[in-house]
Amino acid sequence: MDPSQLLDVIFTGVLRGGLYALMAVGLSLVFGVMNIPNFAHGEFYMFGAYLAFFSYTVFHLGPIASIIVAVAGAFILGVIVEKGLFYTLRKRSKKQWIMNTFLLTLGISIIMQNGAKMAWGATYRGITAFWSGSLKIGSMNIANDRVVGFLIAVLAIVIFWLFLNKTRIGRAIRAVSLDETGSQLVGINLDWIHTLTFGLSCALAGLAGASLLSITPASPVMGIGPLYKSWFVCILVGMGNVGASIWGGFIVGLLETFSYMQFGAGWQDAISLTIIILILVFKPSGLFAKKGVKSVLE
Amino acid sequence: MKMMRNVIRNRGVTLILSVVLIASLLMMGGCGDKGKEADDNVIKIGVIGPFTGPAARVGEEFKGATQMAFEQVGYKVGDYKIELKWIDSESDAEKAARAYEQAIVKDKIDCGFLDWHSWVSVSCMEVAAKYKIPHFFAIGGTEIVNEKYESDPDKYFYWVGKGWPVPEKLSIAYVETLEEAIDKGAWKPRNKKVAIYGVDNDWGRGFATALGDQFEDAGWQVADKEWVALGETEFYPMLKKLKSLDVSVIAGTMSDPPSVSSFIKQSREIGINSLIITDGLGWVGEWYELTGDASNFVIDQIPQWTTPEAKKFSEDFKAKYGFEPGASSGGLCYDLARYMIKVLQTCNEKYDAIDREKLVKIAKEEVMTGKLTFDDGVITKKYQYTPETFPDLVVDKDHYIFPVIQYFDGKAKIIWPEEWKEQDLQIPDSMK
Amino acid sequence: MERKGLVYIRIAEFLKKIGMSPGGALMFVLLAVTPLLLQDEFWTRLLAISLMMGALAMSFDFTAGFININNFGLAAFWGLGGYTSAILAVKLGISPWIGIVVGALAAALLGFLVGILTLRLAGIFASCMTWFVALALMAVTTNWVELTEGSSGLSTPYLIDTVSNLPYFYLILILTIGIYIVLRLVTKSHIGIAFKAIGQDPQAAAASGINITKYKIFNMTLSCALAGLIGGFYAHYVGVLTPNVMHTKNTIEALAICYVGGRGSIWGSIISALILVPAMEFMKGMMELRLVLYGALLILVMLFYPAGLSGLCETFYKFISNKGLFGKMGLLKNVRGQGSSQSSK
Repeated sequence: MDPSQLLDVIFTGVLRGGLYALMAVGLSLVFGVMNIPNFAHGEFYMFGAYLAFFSYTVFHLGPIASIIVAVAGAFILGVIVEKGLFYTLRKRSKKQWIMNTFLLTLGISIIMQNGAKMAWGATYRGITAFWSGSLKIGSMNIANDRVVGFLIAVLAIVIFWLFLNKTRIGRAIRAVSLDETGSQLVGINLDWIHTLTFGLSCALAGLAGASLLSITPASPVMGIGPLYKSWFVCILVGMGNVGASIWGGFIVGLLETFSYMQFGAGWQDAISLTIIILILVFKPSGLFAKKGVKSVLE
Repeated sequence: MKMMRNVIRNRGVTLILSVVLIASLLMMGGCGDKGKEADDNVIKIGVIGPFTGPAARVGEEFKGATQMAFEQVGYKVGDYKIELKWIDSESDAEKAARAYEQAIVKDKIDCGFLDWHSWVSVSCMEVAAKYKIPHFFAIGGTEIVNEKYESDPDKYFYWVGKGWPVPEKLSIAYVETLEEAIDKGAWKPRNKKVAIYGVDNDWGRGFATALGDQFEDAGWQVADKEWVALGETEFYPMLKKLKSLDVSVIAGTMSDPPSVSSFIKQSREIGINSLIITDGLGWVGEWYELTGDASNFVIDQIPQWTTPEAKKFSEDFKAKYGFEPGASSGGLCYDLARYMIKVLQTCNEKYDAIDREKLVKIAKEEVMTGKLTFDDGVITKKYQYTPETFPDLVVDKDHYIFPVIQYFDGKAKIIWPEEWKEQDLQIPDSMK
Repeated sequence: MERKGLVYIRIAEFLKKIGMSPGGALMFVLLAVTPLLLQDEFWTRLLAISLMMGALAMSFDFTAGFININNFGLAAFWGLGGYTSAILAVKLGISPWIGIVVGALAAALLGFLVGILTLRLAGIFASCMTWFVALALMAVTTNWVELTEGSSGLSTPYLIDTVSNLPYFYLILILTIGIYIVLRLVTKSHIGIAFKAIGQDPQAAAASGINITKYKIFNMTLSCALAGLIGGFYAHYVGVLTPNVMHTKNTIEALAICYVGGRGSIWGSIISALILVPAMEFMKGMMELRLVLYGALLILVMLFYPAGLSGLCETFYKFISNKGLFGKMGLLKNVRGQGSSQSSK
């Protein structure tokens, strides 16, 4: 592989990784704080894409406004789902919590996918571009949408990172993820933090879906791909490790681009799966395992 | 004594369960029985389609187009009322076969019609053969259906004809288009290298492999073959690879709109300097909204709404169902449905009655022999089977062929064959 | 009277030995005659498929309900069994009857390997592991076109040269009963107790001297072998295989059946399959709404009745016995003690 090609691989890998990171952060957060393995994460991505599509084409809002609508909508839906389902389950029983919530999210995913099909049909709803034109970087042209999408992802992650580390609420969320009982003792309102966390996670997924609308048109089953990928990322770096999942996103992005170039498109899934399996076998708590992260091992 | 107690305990639970279970089974069986009184003057047609599941979009078009065709005759052939039964394949071989069997046993369909996936065709062929139900014009087109038919023609001829020939019979048109352009001097390619890509399913693999072979036969070198996962929207790596191979033509197919549109857009972003053949770009009506002008110069082979009747159908469909039909799904289905009606009418005229056995006879004597053709199509000129081509349709310029087209600003211009040609193959400036 | 009672108890004793209750046996007998009574090909087919899904859900339950690992890749083992048998039949001309057994062995071997892989992992991560293995297997099946024909689908020979569904129904009925008996016997023995102990608290189980490694691997191997066996049946019943059989959605179907039936009961899976699969069939006209309801059912079960159908039956039974129906006979104490052990977690 010559240097210019290598540079291309790095570039595309990073662009791709931005999306994975955005999705994975939300997934990881919900697992870290609430212990929910969310299999409906991709459906919130889909929901965001639909909202952005309708705001942009039907209500003629600008690109930024459309994305904001999508983020807000996904947040609200997340809050409703949390209050309606997870809250109820938590009040009823905490036995076998992880397994039960896992099945709950499966149900949510089935409902949302088919609900979207009922409401909006199987038609693909997409746009050509939010921002037309392209940017020349080195030897390649990159569409403005991808650059902006990537910037949005980075910006969102940075803001989110600051929020988690620098604000009172953010610190409260982190406290809950480290020690639930302890944080209750110092007066943190668990219910509130849980709802907020789930809403934020959904908002991030919605943001990813909305900002990539020109690349993946909205359709009911569009969430499956991003869901798989964000799970890979989280397993790779260790579930619930929010910071590391950002790097994980880029690692998986690069890994896929690289194996794609080397082995062809069909096999890339098999290769990245093999790597993930190897990691689970030899370093089950992920590449960046650290203390305080929920235990993976028995 | 203790054991006795256990026995009673277990019996209590399971007895209640089994009573409930059997009662509910019988109840459901009873409910189903109501439909059993067959009306002599009603012909029931079971229409197989992916009405739910990943290909539900195609299913919607099937439904709309079939309804429109039958509405034209007022759901009537002779004295017979036509009733359509929708059989949802869910894009799954087993579920489709089960639903088909249900339609045959419960709804007492007299014949079957349509289908989209090849694997669904294979599993339903067996059911059709079992009940000797003639099933007309299933679109599922790949080789596996032909293989199954040829394994026992006497058994599987009930699967009367495919509405779509094996892919390579159509794909040769691309090679011919390019070769003609080169011969005439309209295009001087910098090399004779071609890269092949395809969506990773039966359709993509079959089509793209055949296309690659045809290019090789015409003296081209196949530099690379790429298979793309269904639903993939990230093509930068693949396109970079293709760009570095410096091929003159990139040819292949993808079947889902998100992949196709991403592929086209990204190929422009990367600055691919090759002619791009994307079979199936125009399969869904809204493709241009997804790709925009990135689709300029892209070559496709797809039936067009060329004739006034075709345009009218497309507009009527849109007015009625709110979305634009794809020519090769909705349009083709519309033609096949009218072919189906013609089969019914012929049966009625010839035997003065329509039923399953007579339809089988018609299929054997009229359709398979090539006597009963359909010449009134909005998509292609003539639908005809011959004993040599069966289960495929006759594919040539006078029968069933799709024009090769090139897109400009969302409009398709026919560039092949000569008779339909609207303009010559255009080459982007950067490639001249 | 005395003698009759004695004969009855003898039969019950025998049934109990093979892990079945008289009611359960009666149910299987009723099931066996149902197609004969209905004389309806569609119903026979539907019941056959329901039984197949029930059997698949049972093998899912065997891991999920006992050692507490959701085998999220079950469909891939199912598909592996089917593909192995089909490929042997198509490429080497081996009889499907042998092929099915070989398919089960292949699935068992992979299950054994996956059992080793998931050994150290906790609940959800073990599930992810099985899931990833399944996805990888599906990717290989799709891409290894020379062997599997890829996504165009592999046309498979039929197991029985007949047009009727009845032989297939009886075959799957026998398979299901066999699987049921095997799973009941295993879970009722000391092995089952060890499974439950591992599922509830692995550390405590290890501390009390249970060989976790052995039991976990044994569980995964057996469960996958049974899934593979059913897969072989599927392959030669439907006549065509595509990599889609390995799709996660098929696992979810088995999972939903198992959970609605009640985790850890084995028999709940059959009952719920016999209700859910036909119900889904009859709701076909509702299109997507039917799947929305399916998802809602899953959520409702998880939220309000995690013990599922089998748990519901236990509660119902307890309710009756508390009302004194059996209580008068002085059986109450015993019943209570045993009734709760099956479903409560």
